[in-house]
Order: sequence, then structure tokens, then C-alpha cells
Amino acid sequence: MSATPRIAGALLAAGLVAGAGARGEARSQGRVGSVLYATTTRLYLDAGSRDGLAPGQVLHFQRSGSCRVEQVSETRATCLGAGGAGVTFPLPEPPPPRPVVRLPPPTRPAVLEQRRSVLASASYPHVDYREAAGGGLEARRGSIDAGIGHTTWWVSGGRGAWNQERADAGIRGASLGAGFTLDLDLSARRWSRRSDPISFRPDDPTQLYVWEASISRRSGDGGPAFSIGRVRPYRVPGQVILDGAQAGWRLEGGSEAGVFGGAVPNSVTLAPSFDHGTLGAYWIGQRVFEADSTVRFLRHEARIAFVNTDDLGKRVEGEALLEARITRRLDAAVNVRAGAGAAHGLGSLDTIRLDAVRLDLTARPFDSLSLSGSFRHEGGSVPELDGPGHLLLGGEARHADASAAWVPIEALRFSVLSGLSTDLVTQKTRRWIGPEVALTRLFGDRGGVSLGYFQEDGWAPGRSAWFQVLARSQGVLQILARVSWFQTSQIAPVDLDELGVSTSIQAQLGPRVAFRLSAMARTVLNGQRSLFGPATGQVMLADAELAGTF
Amino acid sequence: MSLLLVALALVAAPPPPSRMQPPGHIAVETRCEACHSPAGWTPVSFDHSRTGFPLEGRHVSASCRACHGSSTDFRAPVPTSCGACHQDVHTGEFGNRCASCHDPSSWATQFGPDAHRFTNFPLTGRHAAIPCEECHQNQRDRRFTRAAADCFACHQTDYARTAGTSLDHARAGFGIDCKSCHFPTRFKGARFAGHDACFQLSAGPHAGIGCLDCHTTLTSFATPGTCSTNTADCMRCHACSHETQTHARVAGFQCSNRKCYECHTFTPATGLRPPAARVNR
Repeated sequence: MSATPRIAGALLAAGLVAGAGARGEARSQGRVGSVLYATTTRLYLDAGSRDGLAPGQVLHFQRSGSCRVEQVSETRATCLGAGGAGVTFPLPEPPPPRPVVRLPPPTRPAVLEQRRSVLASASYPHVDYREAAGGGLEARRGSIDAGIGHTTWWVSGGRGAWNQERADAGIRGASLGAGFTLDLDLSARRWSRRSDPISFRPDDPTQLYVWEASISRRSGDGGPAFSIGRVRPYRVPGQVILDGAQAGWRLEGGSEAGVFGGAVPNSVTLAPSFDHGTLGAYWIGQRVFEADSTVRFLRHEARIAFVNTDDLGKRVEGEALLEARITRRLDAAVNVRAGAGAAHGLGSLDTIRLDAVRLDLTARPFDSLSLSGSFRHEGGSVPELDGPGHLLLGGEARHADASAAWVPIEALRFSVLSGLSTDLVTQKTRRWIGPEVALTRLFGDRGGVSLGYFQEDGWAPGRSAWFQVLARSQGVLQILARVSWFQTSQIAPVDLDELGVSTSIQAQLGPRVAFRLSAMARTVLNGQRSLFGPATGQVMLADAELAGTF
Repeated sequence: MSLLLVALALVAAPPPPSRMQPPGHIAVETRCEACHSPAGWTPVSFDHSRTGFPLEGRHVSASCRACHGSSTDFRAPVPTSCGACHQDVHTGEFGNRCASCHDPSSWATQFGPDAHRFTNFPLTGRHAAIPCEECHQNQRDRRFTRAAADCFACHQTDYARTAGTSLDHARAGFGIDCKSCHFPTRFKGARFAGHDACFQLSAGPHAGIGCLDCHTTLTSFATPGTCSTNTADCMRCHACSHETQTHARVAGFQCSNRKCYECHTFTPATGLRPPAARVNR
């Protein structure tokens, strides 16, 4: 290294030291801050609240210009204004120093250990997890559902639309204290417009239906269990509602046995009727097994009763239901009901008839594949007593269906659905089978689309296809729209083509209030080629409901 | 030796504090923050979708205990079938697959006229826009097992309503297979298959007219299918003033229904055109 640069370096160092010393002197005497970085609108300062800066303060640079303090930390600040790096400014008087607080000496380890052990052994109740009477699988907080709605049915060429207004209310398990709960389920309906021909209660434009109005006590810890009032008997398979009581004894774990009895209301109006009644006994069993056991869940229920109803007359009925989850791959349920007429008393029973056999199976051999099927035989135990024209309709029927769904990837589902339904009285049968493809996450979390086709056979053969879009904004809005085409043969003088659109909108207006709108419209071509020609027909159905949950 | 002592000490040592069970929770690790927040023990936030039973719709706001019961062991199996928690108001008719008609957002049914096609009775025409109770009248049991697929089972009163009218179905010998003549949209606008053999209605100038437009008397259907009723009320639509003018050159023309038939005898070959010889040129 030559002497010249060495001298220059020494001078520079001396200059820097002198400068620093001068600045330190300024800080100690006049106190100066400086700009570290600068953008076109904002300056970053090397001083903060410790140096007396506060937001909104205006700083005047020592040469020229100013800026307004924007945000302040202890040692840094930003300032809005124009300037350059290195620009200095006088600092205000610093705030008085905080008094020094001397902390207590650290707690001795032995004391900490003692406190920890006390905390660990202490029991304290959780806010929402306090044990309460009435616990168990059916334990629940009471809820109140209420809603008002309007429905319109309209057909072209008819005598005008049919309009119905309704108010629905439901109270489920509302606590009345001392372990008693209230259940209520009712609907009030008013036909503001209807025109002939009317089949259902033509003389009653205002209708009230009460399906449940009962007070119950049923503890998860076992003991006596009962319901009284208009009772929907608790887990008594196949038992209709009754005006009376259900009383039983409950074991810990949910099993229960008991009796029930009372008057059976009219099947059409639900008006109380002391002309009809029922008396019987029931059994409920439910058990959840360990997660690694073969049978994971088992539910079995049974009923035997003498019934006297307006539609079936006097009978003795027995019914059993068994539902099981076997591993996590198979769900199975079977339900059997048999009955015998007892028109002349219990001593002279008719031949026992099979009223119903129902079988449901769902299997998931792989996580991506689901197979399900069902079979139902409905005996002659559910005729329509007060049907159109006061005819005795209904009768024996059978139904079966099978479906398979494959989900190769999360957003794609292939399905094949099929079914069969036979009216054993008229021997009329229909069968259907078809594929469905669903892109369930085409719009990500916002929804997807599906497309399906069915080929149909039987007394009214035909085919149908649809395209459906489901869009949703999580928890706020859900819109389902579908375009459908149906072709049906042998149900009119010519093959019948129908084109329909339907939509369902659910909007959550608040945490407790929701609005639902469903609408369906079809045009029936009646052998014509134009969609809305004079010989075609149009039908429409719209339903709007405002519902709240409290 | 020292290694042995260290191993014994490790074995005999109590479990680390982080493995302790919090009171009220069984066999759960103490990662409180996985469910709770410093704001309080409630509300609890937990990603339930990892359990194989994602909480959707109304299940989101259900309390934990509503499904898990009084147990504090959330790893204990909980039945996932609907019937394990919800009582069946349909008295078992539809089995345990509630999702065929309901979704978790509400008990309002998703089953509509389109879905009814997968039963023994597709809802065509007007049947798609009538209240369910018009056919399924039972309100008590909320069952829908009325297998009345036959038209006449529901429409017997409509058939009987024609008695004493000019369309007296029984008197005319019409069968009870309603769909052979009627469309499912409305009764008016029926199509009688044999009518074209006597008088074309499926096409031509009289296409689309209703039965009652012509058949106005009780004797209209005295001999159905013979083309010899001679009771059609032509003059109801064809005004005499106009027809007299247009038939000015027709010999023997009279403005009366029976006289129309003398010339306007329909045949599929000639349609309604009268024989040329009858017209005075």
C-alpha cells in the first residue's frame, strides 16, 4: 500500500470519528435524529417513542423541509413527507424515564413444584361440559323451530292457482326443569284459494295438524321414563301417534322396556277420537361397541300391540327392527311387521299376515366405492280410507332399488342407480336404471354439476335426463338449479314429452333465520312440437318459507 | 452399570407433564389449543371432518353432547346412522336412509315431482303440480305407501261426473282406461283414437277442438264408433249467415246440422271436401 491512500484513509477515519463525536455531542446537547431510508412519500427514522416521537408530530429538518410522524415504535418511526437519507432533524425533549421496578426474586423450585401438583390434582368443571341428568345418546338442548310459508300450484287451462299459507312450529326437548322436557310439532294451514275438483278435505279451508304435544322425562342415567299428551311414542317401531301415555323403565346405556296406550287420532284430520285406540308393550335396545370390534353398533326395537284404527280396524300387530353397523364397511337394517285381524275380539284372530318387510344394506368395500340396496314389501295394512272419491285405495306393493357410487378422485363421482316398483293389486310394474356423473367440486368449495340419464320400463315406459348445478357460499347461500327432460309412453294418447326447470334456493339471513324458495315449472308438449303451443300444457309449483331456529 | 441406572431411572420416571389427562377428558392429549381458545372454554372449535362424519347444515350448531352423550371420551364410537339420533316420523316406511329425501340443512323434504318419477307413478302433466295430500291423504303416519297407480282409482269421481252430460262416459261405453283418450295435463282436449275414421280431429281445420264443441246432446254417443251419430253441432261454430253466403251455389243447401252431413261426409281420402257433383258451378 502506498503512502497516499494510507494518509487518505487516516483522514477519512479521523473525519468519521470527528463527525460521530460531533453528532454525539449534538445528541447530548441538542439531540438530533436522522432519516435512515426514504421513499417518494415516506421517510424511515432512526428515532422512536424513547426519543420523544409520537404519531402526528411534525418534524422540521435542520436544513429545509418537514414531515409528519406516521407510526412509532420504541426505537424507529415512519414519517410522511419528502426528504432524503441522512437528513437530520432536532428531537423533542424525551419523556421522563420510567421508574425502575425491582422484581421479586424467583420462586424456589420446591414451591413451583408444589403449586403444579395442586393444579394438576384439582378438579374443575368445564363450562359446557357439566354432567347433567338426562344425558345419553338422545341428550340434547331444547330447540324451537318456527316458520311461515306459502305454496302455489298452477296449471295452464285450469280454474286458477291453488294457494296455501302455513305456519309450522316445533319444540324439541325443551327443558321444563326437574328433568322434564316439552316436545311440540304442529302445522296450521290455510287454503286462500282452491278450486274443484278437490280431493283432500274440500270443506276445510283451514286445517290444523298436531303431531306431537307431550311432556316427557327420560334420563340417560336410567330409571323411570314416560311421555304424556299427544305422544309420538319414543322409538316404538311402527307405532302411530296417540293421545295417551308411554311409560317404561330405562336401564343405564339406553335400553328401555315399557307399555303405551291411548286413543288414536283420525288419520286424515288428526282430530282426537275416542272411538279408536291402542294398547301395547315395547322394547328398545341400543349399544355402541368398541371401535375395533366387528359389530360397531346395534339397535333393536320391538312392539306388540292391539290396535283399533279408522283405516285398519281392530288388529293385533307385532313389529321388530334390527339395525347394525358391521365393521366400518357394512350397514344393515331389517324391519318386519306382522298382524292379524281381531274384528271379533282377541279370541278369534284372523290369519297372520305379513304387513311389511323392509331390508336396507349399504356396503363400502373400499373407501371409494359404495354399494347400497333396499327391498320393501308392503302388505295390505296401509289402505287409503278417505281417498279420492272415498275409495279404499292402496294395497300390497313391492319396491327394490340398488345403486353403486364410485369416487375415483375427490371431485368426481360415477353412479349407477336402478329400481323396481310393483303394485301387486293391479300388477303394474315400473323399472328404471341409469348412470349419473357428478363433478362435485367443479367450482371448488363453491359447488359442482351433475348429469344423469334414466331408461325406464314397465306400464309407463320412458326415459329422462337432467343437468344440475349446485352453487353455494358456505353457510350463507345455496342454489340448486336443474333442467330436466322426461318422455313417457302409454300414459297419454301419444308419447308425452315434458321439459322442466326447477330451482331451490336456501339463504341464511342470520345466525337463526333462513329463507328457502323452491320452484318447479314444466311444459308438457302433448304430442306437439312447440314448447308453448295452444295444445301444450304448463304446470308450476312454487314454495317459499321463512324459518327460524331458536 | 451407569447405563443400567440411567435406564432404570427412565423407566421409573413419571410421565412428562404434557401427557397428563385434563379433568373431564379421558385419553385425550393436553393440546387444549386444538379445540379451545384463550377466549374461554366455549365455544369449542374442532375439525370434525377428520372423523369421517363431517358436520354439515344443522349438525354444525348441535352441541357435542347431543351426539357424544354424557361421555367425555370423544374417541368412543358414536353411531352415524340417522336413526340412532333421530326418531322416524314415517313409522319405518322408508327405512334408515333419510338422505334420500332430506339433507342436513333442514327436515324440509327434498323429494319433489322429479324424484317421484322413481316410483310406480311418474308425475306427468298436472300431477306434478298438485299437493301431495290430494293423493296421499294420511296425515297421521306420514306414510306414502298408497300404491294407486291406476288412473281410475283416483279419477272415478271425474268419470262419474260426466253422467247426464253430452259426454256421459258410461252411456257412451267409454272404458275406464282414462289415458287412452286424456292427456295428464287436463281432461279437456281429449283425443279419441277412433274419431279420425269418422271426422278428422288430429289434423286439418278441426284439429284441437274439444269434444263439447260439437257433441252437445245426450244422444251424441249413442252408437260410438259407427260414424252415424249425426249429432254434431256444426252450426255452433259455423255461422249461418256466413255459410249461406258461401253455399249460395249449392243446390238444396239448408243451414242445419243434419244437412251438413249429406255432403260433408268425412273420409280419410277426401277429407271434408264435398262431392263436386253437388256443387252448382
